[in-house]
Amino acid sequence: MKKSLKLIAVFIVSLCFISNVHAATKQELIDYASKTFTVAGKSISSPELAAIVKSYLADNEISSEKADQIIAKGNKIIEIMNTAGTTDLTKLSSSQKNEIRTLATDAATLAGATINYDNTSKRVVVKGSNGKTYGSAPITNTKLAATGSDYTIYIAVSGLALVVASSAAYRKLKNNA
Amino acid sequence: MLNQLKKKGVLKATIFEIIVAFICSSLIIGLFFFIFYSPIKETFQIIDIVSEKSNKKVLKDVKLNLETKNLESYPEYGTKYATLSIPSVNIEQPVYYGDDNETLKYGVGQYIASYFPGEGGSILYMGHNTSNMLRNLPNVSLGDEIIVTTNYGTYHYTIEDTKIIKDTELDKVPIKREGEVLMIYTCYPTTTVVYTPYRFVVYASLKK
Repeated sequence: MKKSLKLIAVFIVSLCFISNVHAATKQELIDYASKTFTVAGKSISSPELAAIVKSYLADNEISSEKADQIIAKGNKIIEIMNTAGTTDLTKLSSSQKNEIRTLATDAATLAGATINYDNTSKRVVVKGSNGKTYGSAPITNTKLAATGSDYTIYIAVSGLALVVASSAAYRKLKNNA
Repeated sequence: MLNQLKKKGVLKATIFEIIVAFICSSLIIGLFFFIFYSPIKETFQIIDIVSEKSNKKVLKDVKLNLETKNLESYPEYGTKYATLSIPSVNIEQPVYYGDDNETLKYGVGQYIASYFPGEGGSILYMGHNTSNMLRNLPNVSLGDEIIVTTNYGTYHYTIEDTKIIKDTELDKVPIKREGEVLMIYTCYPTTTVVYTPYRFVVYASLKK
């Protein structure tokens, strides 16, 4: 009787482990990052983020528990954007932006990475604890990269200087006449 | 009273001279840049490329799993992992993983969400339209060969199509998992000195 009770107890404990909350794997984390989400009726995705996650996980291990926590933080970010009713990060309030930034930083920390926002290039840079840069992605990607010369500013300065100099010279000539 | 007027006159003349000097120097600097900026910029780019050979990280351990057609280790962002060659138009450029302005200074860049040669998906490369980079890209002809040499293999592509698209037409350079297509773009026209919203795109398929 004692032996059969023990067996039942072991069975129940084993069952608890088997039926435990599903834990995310590396591949599920990549799939999550590659997902298309619906925010305020619009579909949004970040293929760049998916590429960074893929590249990062090729080099680094992550526990299922941490992967679950990262996904929960990702879901929270989507929830904030849904509450704000916009897919445009620039249209969020300061507190919402800060909350998203904190969630993203925490998610990266859980994975052992760091996220930095480069204000000049308006890009997010992800680095690993080994110092390797895993990726840099623009905050909004609506255009192809600029691959040409842009001397507009020099032409504008030259043109403006030419107009001002000509008018000054004209005034001087007029005054001397 | 006379002294005050004299002082006011001197001050006025000095301010006027400073303004004229500022305008003249702006004019000279502006014209100098307008005329000589292109050769100066190209000289700096050549210096950059030369210094890149000693400074920029070159990755050697990228591995492709031939069974899953996936990279087992990815290059670090901003590192060189391949060489792009289009013999028909004398283009030979290092290829870097990444597409930010800093990376594009050194050679051809790769959009990070696109696939790598050999992975079987769409590959998207881009480079500046300067004479030492991709200025000759629009001179290619259909059927020309493109060679991408990586440390894990050499890939040969045939140019199937070319297009001039707007920089907002992201759907014209779709990234797909199936079908290895190499897409390379540069700003168009290649001789423009101001920002242009047009891109010249080359589409090439992997040779069997």
